[in-house]
Amino acid sequence: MRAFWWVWGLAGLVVVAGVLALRASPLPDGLDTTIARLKLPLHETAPNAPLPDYAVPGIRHSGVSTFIAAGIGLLMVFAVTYLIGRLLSRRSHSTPPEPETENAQHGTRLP
Amino acid sequence: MHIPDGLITDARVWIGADVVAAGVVGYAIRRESRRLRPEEVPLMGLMAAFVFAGQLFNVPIGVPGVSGHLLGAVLAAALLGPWRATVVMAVVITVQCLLYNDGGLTALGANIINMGVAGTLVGYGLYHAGRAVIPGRAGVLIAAGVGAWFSVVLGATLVAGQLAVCSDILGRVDLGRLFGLLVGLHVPIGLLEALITVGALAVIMQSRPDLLDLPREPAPRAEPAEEAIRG
Repeated sequence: MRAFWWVWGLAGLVVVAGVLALRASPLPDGLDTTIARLKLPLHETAPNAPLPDYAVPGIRHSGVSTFIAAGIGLLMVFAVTYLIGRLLSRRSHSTPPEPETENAQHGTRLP
Repeated sequence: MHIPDGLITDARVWIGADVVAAGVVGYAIRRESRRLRPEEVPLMGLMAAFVFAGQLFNVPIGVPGVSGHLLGAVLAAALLGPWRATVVMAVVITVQCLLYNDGGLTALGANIINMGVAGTLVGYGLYHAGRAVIPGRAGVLIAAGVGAWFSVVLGATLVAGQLAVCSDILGRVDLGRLFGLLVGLHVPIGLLEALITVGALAVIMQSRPDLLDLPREPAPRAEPAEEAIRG
């Protein structure tokens, strides 16, 4: 189980992210405020994202919708970073192994 | 601070920012491909998840009608190093853009520079320099606070700069007001950034000082007994 210690951290963060998303202030941020006050030219574009504005289309209850949308994003961010990390670390282990690699999993034993 | 689609319409500006961002992130990936160890990967993922959660949470900043949220770039860089943190920030900002349309696709490069690289490289540079001046745990917290605050103010300055050189804004908008408003609003948002960054590092310092290259402090409770047994 120790190998997957991060699962608990991830599960905790999913809940935290959902709650934070629900409690977030709806006020505009610094940039949006600047755009509005200075009337900067903003050409409206149609949002074409799967979860526009942190909501799941089709879920009526806005709280549930936000909570799920936040959870999906958090898991996706973790998964993409994890995948990139695994790919990078595999590459680093195909070059000369580190001194302390008793359990070299990537078949880098010297001839 | 997420720049939406339709704000930077000057192709030279957004394409230029895309090229710079791709160069920096590409370098970061190449560099870490020779250094990252498999057991370090989960922490990177969790850091990305933490930054994502932090960026969800807008809070009022003391200026009526305005909110701000954590960027997390200096926090990530303090724990992972500047290049891994650059990769983490790029992933978070890209997912926000593709999944939620939070930050425009054309502005993706600019957003990665302003909210990511400004902190992971420049803010981290300040943090690193600060730690050299002030040693120990106090140095970590003070340097991280200053670096975090500066990263937000620098990010806002970069946004203002990118807008200012756009052909449909240059000459039509008072640049003094543009810079004044954007940077001015991000001075308190930067304080929020510093507060969260210092708070998080203070907690991590207690349990995992090794992540911050700090020695384990002789814990007043358990260690003496352990030494007595060994001796």
